[in-house]
Amino acid sequence: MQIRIRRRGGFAGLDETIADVDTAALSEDDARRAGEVVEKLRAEQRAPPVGADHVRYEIAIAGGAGPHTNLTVVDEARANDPAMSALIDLIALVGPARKR
Amino acid sequence: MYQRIRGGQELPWAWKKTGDNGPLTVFPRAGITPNAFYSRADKALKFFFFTPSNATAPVFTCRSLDIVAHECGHAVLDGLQPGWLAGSGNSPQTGGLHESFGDLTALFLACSQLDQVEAAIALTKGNLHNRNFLAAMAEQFGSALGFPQGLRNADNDLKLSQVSNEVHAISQVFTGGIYDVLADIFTFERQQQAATKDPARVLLEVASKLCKLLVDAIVASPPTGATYADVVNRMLVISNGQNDPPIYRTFIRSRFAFREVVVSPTPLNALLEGRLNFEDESFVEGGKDVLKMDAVKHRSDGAPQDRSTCCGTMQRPEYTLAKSETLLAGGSLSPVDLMGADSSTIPKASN
Repeated sequence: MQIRIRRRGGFAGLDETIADVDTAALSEDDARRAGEVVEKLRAEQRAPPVGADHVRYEIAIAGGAGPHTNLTVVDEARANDPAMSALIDLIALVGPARKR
Repeated sequence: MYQRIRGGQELPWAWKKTGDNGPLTVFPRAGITPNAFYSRADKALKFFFFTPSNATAPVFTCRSLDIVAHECGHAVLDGLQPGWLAGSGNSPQTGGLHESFGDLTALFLACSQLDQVEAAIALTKGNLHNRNFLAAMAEQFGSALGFPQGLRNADNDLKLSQVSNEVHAISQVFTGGIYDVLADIFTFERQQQAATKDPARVLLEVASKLCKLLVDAIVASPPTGATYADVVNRMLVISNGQNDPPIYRTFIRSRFAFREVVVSPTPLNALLEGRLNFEDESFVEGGKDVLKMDAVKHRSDGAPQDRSTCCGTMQRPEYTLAKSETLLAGGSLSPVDLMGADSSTIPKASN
């Protein structure tokens, strides 16, 4: 499963790729957990907020068992946001600071 | 500021239309990240802070007048035109108007303070196209991200064909046009009123007048899907109705024709070629004081609004990484569609 995470937007209009990983390159355990987090993110998809200058994370999923998907998580700076929590888990698994 | 220039008329927040009289809440330290945003659902402006990688002291976005004004501008405009954020059929230019209004709010707010305009006049020697802090947007924030002239700059020459559909990018065209008109009217009025007013006083008054003209035009524009040409045409009509000197409208037509926003039936070159007589208040290039101009056709006109680097309003699958043609055709997506496409190339506002 290929996972690419882009962070875009905000007041500055950022556009940066913060992860682009094939889960085949991860340990079996991390790959399984990444799949679980993706499913959690899929379940947490909701209508985007009305507003301006939010930072949003675009997660493109290709391959694997599920359908090819683009998921979006908008950072609304809310405490206990399950989508953001799942995103943080995913970044920990596939982002630049992941275990090699 | 907006309430003042509109004679004290109340500017309701967007949620008042649903009977909610709640205030706009400001969170000056909402968290740690390089951002600030407006949220209608939260009825809030949230400002964050961060420490740039090459610095030890944090940057607090709440301390930037530009950033605070920009986000407040979003909230004010959402109250005036709620369909521009949440309506259907909004084009990239509608989002660009929102972002531009934010940046112009910062510009007009600075221009509403006499000490600021006095400093700007001294710095620029009265030529607003000389480098100055009025045109520069969020200098500290921009510097932290590697933009020493500010994150964006109102004194730009960008045309619609030179920017993408991303809302901040496309906003610079409209912001630049308004800034040019401000500089033009100031140059004209400074000469007209040289014997009676200090240049700083003239700039203060000119900015206030242009700000009101812009807001009135925005209010008169369509409730959804507004384009730059919609606002420009309403500025022309309102300017004429309030008996502004015809040269004001020459400035507006010339500047927005140059930026490929509107098409002029006759060439408008006098201003750009330095042949315009700034002492002639009735100067109308082409001999006709045109009040309605056609919009320049762009491939972006039918494109989805790319708010991908802004709020979440228009964040549907068609605005994400997959090819828009594939999505619009309803076909299935391949891994290449999802992973190979560079989203920045999807909705270019190029000719």
